[in-house]
Amino acid sequence: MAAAPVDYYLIVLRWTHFVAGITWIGLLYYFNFVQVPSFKELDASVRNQLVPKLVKRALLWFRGSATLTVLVGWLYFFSFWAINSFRSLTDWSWGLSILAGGTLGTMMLFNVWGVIWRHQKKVIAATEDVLQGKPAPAEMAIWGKRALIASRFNTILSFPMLFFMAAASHLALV
Amino acid sequence: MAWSFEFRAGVAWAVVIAILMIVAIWAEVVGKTLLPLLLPVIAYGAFLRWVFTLKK
Repeated sequence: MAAAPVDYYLIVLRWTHFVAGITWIGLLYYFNFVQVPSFKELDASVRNQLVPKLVKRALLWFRGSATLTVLVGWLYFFSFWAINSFRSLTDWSWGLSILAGGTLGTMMLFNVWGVIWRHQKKVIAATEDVLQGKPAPAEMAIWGKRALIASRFNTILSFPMLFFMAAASHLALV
Repeated sequence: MAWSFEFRAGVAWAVVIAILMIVAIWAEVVGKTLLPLLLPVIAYGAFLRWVFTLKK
């Protein structure tokens, strides 16, 4: 049976969701498993050089891919639900599982913009000021702490989020 | 990842929310309503509130 136009629409959304999601979660794991422990071993002067260059660029891709992942994900969900005549989600394993994963993913996106980037942009600006000889603000430590907690939270929450995403096609919940 | 305060706090909140999500799915199937989905959402709101109360 030949693919209908709606199939092409859905596969483009799904592929975009995968590519953006891999970029987002890949960077999340890079930050948590590679960058944070590595930065602890570096001298402050080296770290201060890397923050405005490496971290700033990585965070741009991080929040961009996070936003794209979630927006396209919800668009896919509502499109697929509409194609299935808005059937009852409580009787539909796919719908329940994606709704659970999507809700967790949306929480993670709120953390990206509302906690991580909100504080990291202040850390980056302060680091740039330090490089120009200005003193570091006293609040810098708490900005980093809040961002790190949200980043750790996202790392751990990514495991059930990905489980529910995969379970939609591979595990019957209902 | 070092077993730091940030790590422990992040794990604790994420595990609570993941457990609430599992409970919510069970309650959704049993109760035939999506309302239990609010459980993990409310807990996430509490996390946000808590993280902004940290002062040092």
